[in-house]
Amino acid sequence: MKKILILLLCLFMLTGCYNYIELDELAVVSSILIDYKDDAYKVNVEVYSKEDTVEVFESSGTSLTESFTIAEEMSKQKFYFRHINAVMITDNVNVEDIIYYFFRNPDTNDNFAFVYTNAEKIYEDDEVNIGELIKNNIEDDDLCSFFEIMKGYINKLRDIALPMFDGKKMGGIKAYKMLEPKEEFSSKEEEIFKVLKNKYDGILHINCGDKDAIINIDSIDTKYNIEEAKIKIKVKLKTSIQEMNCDLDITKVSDLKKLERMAEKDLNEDIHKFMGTLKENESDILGINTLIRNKYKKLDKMFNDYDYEAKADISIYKKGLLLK
Amino acid sequence: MKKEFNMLNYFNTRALFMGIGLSRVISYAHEYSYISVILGTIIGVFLLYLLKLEMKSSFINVLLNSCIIIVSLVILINMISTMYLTKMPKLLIGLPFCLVLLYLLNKKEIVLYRISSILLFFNLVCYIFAFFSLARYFTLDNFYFTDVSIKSILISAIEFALYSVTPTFLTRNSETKDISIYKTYIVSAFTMGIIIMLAIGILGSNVSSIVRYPEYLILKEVSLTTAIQNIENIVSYMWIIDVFILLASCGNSIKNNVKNKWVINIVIPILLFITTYMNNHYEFILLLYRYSPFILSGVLIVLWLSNKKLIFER
Repeated sequence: MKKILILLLCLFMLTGCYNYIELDELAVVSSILIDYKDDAYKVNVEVYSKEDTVEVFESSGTSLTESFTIAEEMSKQKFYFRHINAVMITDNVNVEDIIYYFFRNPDTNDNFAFVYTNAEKIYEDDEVNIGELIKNNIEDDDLCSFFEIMKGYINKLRDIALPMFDGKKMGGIKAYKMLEPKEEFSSKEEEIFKVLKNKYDGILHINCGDKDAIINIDSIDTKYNIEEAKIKIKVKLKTSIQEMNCDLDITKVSDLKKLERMAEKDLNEDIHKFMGTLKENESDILGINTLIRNKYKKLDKMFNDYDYEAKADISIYKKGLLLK
Repeated sequence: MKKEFNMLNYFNTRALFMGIGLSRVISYAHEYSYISVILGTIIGVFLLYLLKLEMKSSFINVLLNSCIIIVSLVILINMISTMYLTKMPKLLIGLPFCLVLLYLLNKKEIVLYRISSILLFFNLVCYIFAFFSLARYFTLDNFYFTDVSIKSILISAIEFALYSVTPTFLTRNSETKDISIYKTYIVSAFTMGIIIMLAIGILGSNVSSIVRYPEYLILKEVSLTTAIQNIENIVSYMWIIDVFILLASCGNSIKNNVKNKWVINIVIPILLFITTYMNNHYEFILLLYRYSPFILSGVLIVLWLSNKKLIFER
């Protein structure tokens, strides 16, 4: 009898009955847009509604907590953050505040997409779930995950780089220096960023005059070799041909090698240009300062004090089903 | 009896790391925590060898065990309140645990040993599952240089030894020269060391230092394929089991130190109320976090002074 009573007590007290909320009273949040204007946070909270639509609640407050509380009162439900897909911020928001707010909260799932947006209007169509749209766009991309961005910032490994959302699709990155918004990079530059972060498995364009070829990256290995005044970036790619429009005969080894050299030349130039922009903005989104500090146990010279030499090594090892 | 004590020992060695020990060790030693773990284990083995005790039934032992019960209850209730049952009053979280504890302690000692052997199996399954799920997120990039001093590493090692060895001494009920105690201690410290390494390798030392429960946070990465995720709440039971067994071991020691066994039915509720009072005033938790190594070293010193076996009696 004692056993049964204790078991019942544990069942009712330790299984979350006290925290219980009816499903109808829960507003499952899909995405949040945070802006800061006129000394107030402006938040738009997108929640799942009935019949595959969404509802957006807009509010403002002197703090994030106040803004969410007001939005919650408007919704007449309790916000549920455990299935959140995306959090979007604008230029005016202090990124650090947002990072610590969501990191402190035990009721959020930390794997949502943390993105930057400069779009004027986001939530125009209540049949389009912006949170799911962003999540589907990025799939399992670590570079967009709040958890990874948060770790990179708090561990002081690198400056923040947020993927960009233009209201319709993802593309490009927003670089920060310390917490100050800096350069916006295009989708093409985002690809170079991912190559340099060793996390790109997309496609590369090869220019051959007025025609082009497209190769798919199957494996990537990027290494940084830090010397006295120069940092050598070695990128080793194993690729396969997706499209071949160049006037080359890839059944011949010499033409295949020529194609590889062209791809390497394009990539080296892109990397050099990208590093130049990063140096200009002093934005260490690649975490090169951490590599320097790990090597020399101090940081007398920052990453932008070094020269960069890119050396791409691209090998095409598959051509698809066609021989030519 | 030796085998059963060793099973309890496995849990007791790890229990005080949850919520306090682990984040303190990492906050001092950062990327050199592995050195602290190794040194701390050596210091722990040395203390186990050096400090010979003959446990006497005394009021001091009751007080010392009560002290550790309060620390463990604070850790346990706080963790559950922060992670799982955020709205539940802390007294109502502690109450079922204390009732189960009292039920267990009113049985014979063999029941405690049987329960620990069953929970050991569950604990190991969770641990191994967590380890293999988390290993792929481990990266050496998170062992970045942070200019840690040798003094910090040594402090971290001493704290590791204190958190791991103090419960073992407290819950001994007979002096033994059995080498299996050292083996269990080393295995248990090793498992804790792996968790510390995983925490740094997955989160990085700065994140691990500022988070109260890094050992829980890393479990958020655990998943069973992409279909089953968010199972950190189940896997984290291994921490709760560690602390619960420590509570039971200390309660058992109190029971063995008093003439009337029913006294435990008064002691545990009193300790629960003290713990609830402390939990409702966050300054006590901050003090506990800051001064826990001093509390544990005080407990160890008083325990040794009141129960020491004189050298010529060995």
